[in-house]
Amino acid sequence: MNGIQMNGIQWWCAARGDAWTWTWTPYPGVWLAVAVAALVTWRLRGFGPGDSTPTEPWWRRVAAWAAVVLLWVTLDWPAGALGAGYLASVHAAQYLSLAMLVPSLALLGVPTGAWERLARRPALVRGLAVATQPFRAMLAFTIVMVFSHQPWLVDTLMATPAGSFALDASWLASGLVFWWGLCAPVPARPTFAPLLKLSYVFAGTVAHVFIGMWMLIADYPIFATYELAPPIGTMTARADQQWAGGVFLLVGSPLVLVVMTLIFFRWIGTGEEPTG
Amino acid sequence: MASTRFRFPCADARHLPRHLPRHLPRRRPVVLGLVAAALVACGERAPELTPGTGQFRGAEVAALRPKPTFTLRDTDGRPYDFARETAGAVTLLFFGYTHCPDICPVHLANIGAVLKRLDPADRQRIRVVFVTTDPDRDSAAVIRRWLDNFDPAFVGLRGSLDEVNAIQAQLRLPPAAVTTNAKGQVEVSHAAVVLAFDAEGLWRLSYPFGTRQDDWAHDLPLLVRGRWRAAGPAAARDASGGETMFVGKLRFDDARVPVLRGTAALAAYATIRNSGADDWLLGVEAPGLARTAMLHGQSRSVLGQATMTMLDSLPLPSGGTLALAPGGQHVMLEGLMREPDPGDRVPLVFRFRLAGRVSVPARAVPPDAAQGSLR
Repeated sequence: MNGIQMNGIQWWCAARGDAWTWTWTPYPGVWLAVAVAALVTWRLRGFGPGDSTPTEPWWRRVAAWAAVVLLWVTLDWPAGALGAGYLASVHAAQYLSLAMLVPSLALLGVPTGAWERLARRPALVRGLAVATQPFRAMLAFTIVMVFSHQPWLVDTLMATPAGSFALDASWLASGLVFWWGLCAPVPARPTFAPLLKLSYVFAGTVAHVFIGMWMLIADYPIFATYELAPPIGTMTARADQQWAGGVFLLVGSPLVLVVMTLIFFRWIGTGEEPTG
Repeated sequence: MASTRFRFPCADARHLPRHLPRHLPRRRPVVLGLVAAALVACGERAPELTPGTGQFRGAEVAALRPKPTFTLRDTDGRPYDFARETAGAVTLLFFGYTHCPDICPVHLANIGAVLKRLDPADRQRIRVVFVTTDPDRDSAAVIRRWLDNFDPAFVGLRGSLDEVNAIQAQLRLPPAAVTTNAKGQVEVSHAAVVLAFDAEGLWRLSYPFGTRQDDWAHDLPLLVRGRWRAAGPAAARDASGGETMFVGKLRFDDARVPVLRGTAALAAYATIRNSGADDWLLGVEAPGLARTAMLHGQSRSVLGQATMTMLDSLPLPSGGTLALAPGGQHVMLEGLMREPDPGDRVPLVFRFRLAGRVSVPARAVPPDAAQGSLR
């Protein structure tokens, strides 16, 4: 399936091979995805504070809607189109957004009431416990991260809206699974202690450092999609790829460090046992 | 006036898989049919191309040709005798234009990037010569400024379009053309192939669009060292009279447009075989013939009523065949700009996801030869 396309309109951002223009381009599939995300967020906000928390902290609402906005900005024109077919650096930023920021913000934004409601559904909780089991989640996140940056896969998938959508969806899904264990209170994991969490974050995200280094030091462009794309400005394909590596190392790594720092200080603050 | 991308129907070399890394070594035969097919489309016999000896990633030219002899003005306004100035050096010759939004800058940027990393001794033995096919807009200063983005050592040449086309004729490349479309946009058609001449002045290799930096890095040192291995036995491939065209891993059979007098639309048919990777036909253009060309599917209801649906793309799986035929999937040409006569060649530009834009000269045929009609 190459996707629903009407009069040259792509339903999802994919490499076009045409010269880049700053002419706005609609991507109906992206709008639908963002609308669904907004609807889910709005419905979840309806649950409000839970029995155990009479008031909802303000940042939950901010996080929830920030996730929706970030999802939109990441997937829609111009970032979506640039990342899909023109600039590896934007593609790298999209990865960080979809796999790290959007899922974690979305999960942090879920109100307590919704979590309590979820906890009252044991079958669902059992399913989630299996799907988000830390080792499994870490493995899935790493595998998706590594494979989704293989040149042959990127070059193949970015060529069609369906492929591009699959890549974006895999990033988002793997991110949700990975960050679930850290951001979601359900299912409760009393043995997932701070020290394990720190190791989990480090081990689950360390691959991005190697991918970033690879993009930074490669002699020649890795991805045909971006090497053979109509150029934008005077930036060379290799410079763009180095920027992509830079995004991974200079944005991705600090992001991971911030998360680890938060886990650490939370651990210190609560006096939790380091190993559960 | 805005410039738009337009490849000459006979010379579109943008046929290599765009999105597959290191595709040239894997798909060496991909490049072989291009020049042959393109030239036959123009009514000339193409130079023979061999499938390669496994040594180079570019397409090797079996029937070696000497460097063309010409003198044009360089960007300093001085006469530049191509054969004399590039004597003894590996020479990459490319016909393009500075307003080109994609193929030209990508080709030159990739060559420039690789030259920067090449051994300086090898680098000194390579000349890159760019000849503009858009002399009206490409002044010497414009060419110089543009080439400096890639490598200040690149030579830019300028002459009248007739002069440039005479050079291309020596190389049996199709002539370039500059036209203005209905929207007032300038369309420049040109060959999209970089021609590589060895130090002895023989045209050895062709590099179509899709050639990657890694491919240049592999081939240029070999070219400089002149390490030619004997080509295999007559493995030449040629297009045959326009009825069958090989363009890379794609084979086009019987591309035709049945001519129906007095209709507002025409259909186009062809059979496309793909011996490469999975691909998709994304669209078709008929420059100079129809304003719009759409992919259509045709099906019949239980009552036998034919219905046509517009398709966004058609899959062309690896090893598969796509039949654009009467009563089934086909190309619909609307907004006819002229009515071709049977026997005419009608340029169709097929746009593939991986293979890029492929120009195929379709035959205008009487309706009965098409086994059906739109009526």
